[in-house]
Amino acid sequence: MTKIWCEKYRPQKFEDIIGQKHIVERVMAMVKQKNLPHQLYVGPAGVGKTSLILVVAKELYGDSWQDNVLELNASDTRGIDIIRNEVKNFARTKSLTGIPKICILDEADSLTKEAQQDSSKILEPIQSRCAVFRFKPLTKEEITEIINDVADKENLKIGNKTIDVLCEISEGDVRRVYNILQSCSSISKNITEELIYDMVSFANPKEVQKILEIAVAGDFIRSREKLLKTMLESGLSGLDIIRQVQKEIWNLDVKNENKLKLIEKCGEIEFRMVEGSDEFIQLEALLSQFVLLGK
Amino acid sequence: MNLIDKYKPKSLREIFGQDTPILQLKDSLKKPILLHGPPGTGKTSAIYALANDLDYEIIELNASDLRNKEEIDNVVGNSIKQQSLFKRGKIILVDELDGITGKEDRGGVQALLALIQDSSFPVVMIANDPWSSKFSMLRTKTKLIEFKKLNYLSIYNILSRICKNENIKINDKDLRELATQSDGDARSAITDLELLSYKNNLGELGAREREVSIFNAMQLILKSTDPNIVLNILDNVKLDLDESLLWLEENLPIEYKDRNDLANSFDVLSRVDVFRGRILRWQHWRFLSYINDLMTAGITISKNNKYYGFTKYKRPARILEIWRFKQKNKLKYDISAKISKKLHTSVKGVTKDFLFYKKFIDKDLIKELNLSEEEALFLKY
Repeated sequence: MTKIWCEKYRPQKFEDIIGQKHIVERVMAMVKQKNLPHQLYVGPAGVGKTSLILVVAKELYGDSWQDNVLELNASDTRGIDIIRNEVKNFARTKSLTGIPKICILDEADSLTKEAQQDSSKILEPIQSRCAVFRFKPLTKEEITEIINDVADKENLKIGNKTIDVLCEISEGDVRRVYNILQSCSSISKNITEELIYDMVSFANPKEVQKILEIAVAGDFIRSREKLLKTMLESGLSGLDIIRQVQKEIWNLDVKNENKLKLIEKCGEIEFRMVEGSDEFIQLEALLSQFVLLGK
Repeated sequence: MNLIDKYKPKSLREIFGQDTPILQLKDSLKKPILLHGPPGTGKTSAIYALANDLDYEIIELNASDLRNKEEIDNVVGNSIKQQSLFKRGKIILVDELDGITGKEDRGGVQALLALIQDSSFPVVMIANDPWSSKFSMLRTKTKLIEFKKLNYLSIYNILSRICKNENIKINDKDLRELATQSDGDARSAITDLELLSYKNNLGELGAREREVSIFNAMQLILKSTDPNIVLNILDNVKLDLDESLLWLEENLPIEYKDRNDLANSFDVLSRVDVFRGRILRWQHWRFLSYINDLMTAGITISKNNKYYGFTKYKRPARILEIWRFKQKNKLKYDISAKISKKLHTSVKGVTKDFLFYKKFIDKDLIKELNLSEEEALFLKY
């Protein structure tokens, strides 16, 4: 049993799953009839997509689930050929149980990005062959339930207000909740608001804000150096960065009319990224606009 | 300043080193003519000079106008048959005939033959290689006049005349070398002279090689204000466009200090990148020509200020930086990979939250994750 909480507390049975009620019910029914269609799980990070399919696998195969499931993570697997081969080999043999085997292609959207294609376009034919389930971010109540559960099991002390803060910061991403809690608990079992804020700002420092401030001050070269460093060190993609940039624009010391222009530029740059442009050059072009409109 | 245009011969007398073909040309203007010879030897210039001398008008057709009779008529109109109504004489010029492809434009050659037949004005055609089979019909109906490669001395004379007029200071030895290297092509020699004159004005490089170093290309693109000078500069650089793009990306902010210039030029560069994406996506490689135009002339004219003096350009750092980082962070990646195996999560997903994991990975977890000593040390640090 692993000691990493987000895995340790991964639901093992349908009953363990918190949230996504409607989806769980439907999938349960499918499992009961042992009749699984292709399924496409869609939704933000940390809301239970992988967890649900793992539960399905465990329900179907019990202890031998790992022999009957092929897990591929598209964002780590290089090239469609590798995936194709693995799937072919896996599908060549039938399961001893007589139940069809399961192939999980996780983070499939990054596969399409790799192929530099418009994701909605490539996903269309896939969608039409799948039962599509749309996962929603967990509600505050559901997250609170999860926090209380882990606090109970790990002997953490955490007040209601602190729970609220954690709910807000995690934005409905349960993995994030576990990671924040576990890293806080390595310092103290008494989880306070302050501890959480410290931990989050340590792990997700406000680099983007600083990058933009340097640009607005007119130092393009230093701001792009910092941008590159941030992207490399935090592993943030161009789209991650641009999302933060868009939020930060409103906090910058820039004329209001220019803020609007910057937002528009932001959108244009994001559009180009989605189309498959070089993220860094596009972000540089955006930074140069901050230099221009910041004065 | 575009030396090529500026020094186009205005009269046949100004054309150097082609006395024989020019004499032939003058004598046989009543018949259809096919001028041929290597590039930059003065074929087109000769026709324009001739028209100028005779005060004739030139009606120019290019290969794409030659698909059929209708298209030709569109350009030349019916005027060619009604000589008496017009006082001024005309020359029908069909330049770059090589552009006609044998099969697709079969109608083109037929239409051209009809044109020769009908026209009451002289028709002059120009081709690099008249011996191609697609021109066999034309060869029998026209007078062939050959423009040979210019000799070294003619080119030297052309260049030194320009240097004198333009007050370009270049030492004689370099000028002679330039003339030799041009291999009988006056146009390319003048272009090279122009580039060299620029370099000299900017206090760099003595002369010589036809190949332009990327540093010089940067200098020309970023310092110059004339799009025509830089338009073809990257053709002479031994880097592919992707690399040149990285060079521009690195050096734009070093040169363009003005905020407006910086923003405008980066806007151009980002549109270059958009075209690059479109090439990959649609496999339409002709977009490359737009990339070239934007990267050269586009960058040049995206500024309102002049940047004088010496600028120290840098090699592109981004790719190297990414590589260095990857080396440095190999441990981080390896650890993330080990964590990701336990978590049903991608390595990327783990690296995003790496600092959390780093915080709480303790002795037990190090054991569980099977981390090496080196990796364990990395986490502590």
